[in-house]
Amino acid sequence: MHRSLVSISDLTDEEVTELIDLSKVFREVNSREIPKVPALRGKTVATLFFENSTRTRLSFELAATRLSADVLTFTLGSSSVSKGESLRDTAETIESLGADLIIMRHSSSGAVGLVGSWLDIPLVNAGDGAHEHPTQALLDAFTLMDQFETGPRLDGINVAIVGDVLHSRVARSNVQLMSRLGAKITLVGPPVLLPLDLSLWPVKVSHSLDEVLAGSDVLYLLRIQSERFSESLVPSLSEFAKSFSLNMERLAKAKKETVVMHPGPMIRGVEITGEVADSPQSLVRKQVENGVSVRMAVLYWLLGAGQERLEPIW
Amino acid sequence: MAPKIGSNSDRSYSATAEVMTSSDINRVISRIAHEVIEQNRGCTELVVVGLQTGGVWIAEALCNLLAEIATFPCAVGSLDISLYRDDHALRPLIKSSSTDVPVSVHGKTVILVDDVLFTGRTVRAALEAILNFGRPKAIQLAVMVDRGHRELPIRPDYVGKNLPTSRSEVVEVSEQGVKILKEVGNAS
Amino acid sequence: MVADYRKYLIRGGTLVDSIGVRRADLLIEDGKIIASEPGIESQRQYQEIDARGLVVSSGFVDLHAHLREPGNEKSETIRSGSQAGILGGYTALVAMPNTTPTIDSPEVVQYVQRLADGAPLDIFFAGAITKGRMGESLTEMSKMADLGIKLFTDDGTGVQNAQVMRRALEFSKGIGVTIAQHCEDLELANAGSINEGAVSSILGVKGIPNAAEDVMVARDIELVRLTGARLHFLHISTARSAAMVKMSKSDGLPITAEVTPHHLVLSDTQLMGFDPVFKVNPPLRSNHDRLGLWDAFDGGVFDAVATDHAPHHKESKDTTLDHAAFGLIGLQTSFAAVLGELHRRLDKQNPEDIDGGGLSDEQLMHLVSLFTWKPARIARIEKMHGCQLVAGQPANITIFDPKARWRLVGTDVVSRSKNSPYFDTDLVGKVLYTFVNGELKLKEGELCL
Repeated sequence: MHRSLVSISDLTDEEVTELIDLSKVFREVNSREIPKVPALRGKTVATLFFENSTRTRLSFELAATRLSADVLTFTLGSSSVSKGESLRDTAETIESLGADLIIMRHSSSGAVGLVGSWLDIPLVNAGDGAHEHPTQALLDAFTLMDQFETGPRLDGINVAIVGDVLHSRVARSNVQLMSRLGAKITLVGPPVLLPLDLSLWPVKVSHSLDEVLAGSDVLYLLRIQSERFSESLVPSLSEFAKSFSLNMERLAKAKKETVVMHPGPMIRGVEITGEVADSPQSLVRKQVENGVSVRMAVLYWLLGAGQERLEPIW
Repeated sequence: MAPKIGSNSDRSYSATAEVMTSSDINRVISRIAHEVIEQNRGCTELVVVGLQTGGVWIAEALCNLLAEIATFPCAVGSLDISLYRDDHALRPLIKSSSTDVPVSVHGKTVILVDDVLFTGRTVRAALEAILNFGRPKAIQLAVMVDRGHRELPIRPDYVGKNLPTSRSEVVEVSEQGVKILKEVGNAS
Repeated sequence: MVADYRKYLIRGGTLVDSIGVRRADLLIEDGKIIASEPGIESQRQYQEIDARGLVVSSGFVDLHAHLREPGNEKSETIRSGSQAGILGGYTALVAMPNTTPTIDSPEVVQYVQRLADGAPLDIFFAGAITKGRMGESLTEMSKMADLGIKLFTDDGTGVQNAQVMRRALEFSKGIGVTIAQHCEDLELANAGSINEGAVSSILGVKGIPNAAEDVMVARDIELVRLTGARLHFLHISTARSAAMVKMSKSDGLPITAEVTPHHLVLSDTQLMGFDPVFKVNPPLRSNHDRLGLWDAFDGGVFDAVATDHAPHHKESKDTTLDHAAFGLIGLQTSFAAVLGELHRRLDKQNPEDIDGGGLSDEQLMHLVSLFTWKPARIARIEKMHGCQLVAGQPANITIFDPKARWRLVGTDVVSRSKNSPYFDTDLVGKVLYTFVNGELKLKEGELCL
């Protein structure tokens, strides 16, 4: 029996707390002069990315390296593996090479869970289609707990998630995790970029960013991909920016303590202006920093725990 | 759920002998403090690091005494070596506050403190861990009890009590004293 | 094999056909029913079937089976699909034309009719409305009609261009055939994989909105009003489409509609685990729509339960939801799946009378009508199939145990593909005997071919 992290719903509340605690341990490790521990020495971690994402892959690889795991890197274009057979072949090859864990990203929702059902090793979902991106949600929760000093919870924190929710795996993981931790979430975006049926989402909905500015503790901007304009979901970049871009003028209408987050990569000038991204209220760099600690925690939690224990040695 | 740390909870032990009392403990810490000062003449700054979990309170007591009697500043810290263990006895539930080295160890003398010195593997891991915090001038080792059975070439600089034991016995150290426990069988 | 035109006496069963529900014995000889009355005396040369406690029905007719041959014999063949049909109680299948090659010319019709020669049940092919099912130019429908093709459809896709659809309806009217439409506006369907709703929203999977079906149903109803041609709607999946069909019928338009067992039994919540077995087109809809289909079912809106039996070999299903093929198999389980769900609904309505009485005669007759004489009329094969169980009629007969509860297991699936959604569903009603033109093809639940 192996565990995987495919969805936030795979985690019990206790396990979320455990991972947050472990993230603190690894943040301390990362602050050391030599930020590396031998905890996963001898383990092999493979990154299998069917969709380009240098940042997420580097964050995971750095996390694995800092735990002294060996890292195998596979990057493939989705097109070469569009058939199920070759997806399976690729995954099984990596398992046969001796990988102890696979970190996987794929453009299809459900792909990571599917591969997990074929293999006997743990998988970490680094993003599957518009479904989930659980480590992003964990690192965002970790960052906010730190910022608002709310302990292992996010009770009473008002979060506005702004932009292209429809296509966002970050939104799906974050809504689940943040609401479980007690945050109150409002989705903000044009109707065309919100799912039609939100009856199973524990959220409020607004179509006006200006309306939610004053009441939000967190303004979480989602990336809007340029395909959305070519699909004519949104008439133009500036048409979107006019209503949903977070600029300094809008930020000034929020509370001074309100923080700004973004999962990256940002398109400055579209969903967020450069000034806002670089402002003191922006937690973007902290998110990236915490990402490594959280991913170390996840890898350690999946690979370190449950090992056969030798005799006590003290 | 991740498995909890495999302590000795699946076995039972009975106390066979009390080998040190609480006043013995206090006396020993005081003696070690004086030995530390003796050995570190001309030292500019000392960092006393207790190993989680049994060495932490001893390190604190030792540092408090040193602060009274030493002429140089003395900082105290704690170190969790779970992430450095060589036996995959990984603990999923490490306390987030378990490693705390509040000052740089660069160029300073570090005294690692543990309650019981046994095979030496914990100390080996601690040496590896502390070096990740910088390059100390020197590292010394203080233990309350040295019970033998070394598996690595490690020798303490300060010893509270040498205590020959058999491998099956467990040595329990606390502020109340030192006890030897004998295994009475699996109790699961 | 040598035709086994022995005499059979079916004794003690409850007969159900378009006449009604009654007790009578049936005597079968030389492919025909030669007597239908209570208390027929046994004779040595009769092979007797004890049908006490069983229902003896007109043979089942499926309007909507994908047999995959020619072109995709890895997934199904005419023979394997026919065997599945016989196990499901079918005596006739209408095979869809989306094969390779497409059944879109008289030559291909003759070719596939030869392939179906000697199949253990009667196979009637549907022809394509447009060449290559491309939605552009009409096929030579009257030449194909001369070869016996009665139903034309581009199933797999709908005819997108309204003007092409109008021409097809007008053309069909003159030659006595029926157009059958797969209603799906491809632009609105947006290359989706599952129903657009709460589930697609949570999973982050592209959805197909109800409107993709509803707008084409609405459009085609108006085209029928315009042309006066007969039109059959394949696999209605939304409550709204069912309501429009109902209205069109009360307007007196010559419209018929089918519903599939899976749209009656399953809803999109089945997809919460991303299991591609449940990916089907039209998609499994919300439970709200499913209940709406039952209202239409009870209200007599539907003219047929059709399987949309769509075999897919493992490789086309063992992949991500967006890449997996649409479709599921249903010939072997269709009747039992619907009857099982009907029982669950009745149990819910009368919680204290769980399985006390089973179905009333009216309910039984209504259910059987949708599997027999009504689809036979739509396929225009009512002279051969779905006939009344009286002397002189062809012996296409299905005998089932209406109380038998069973589960489908993988090894019992005779289709070449195993993509059934019912492995975890309680099925009620087991087909035990199937007579095709007087030959016993299924005996005590076992194929005898």
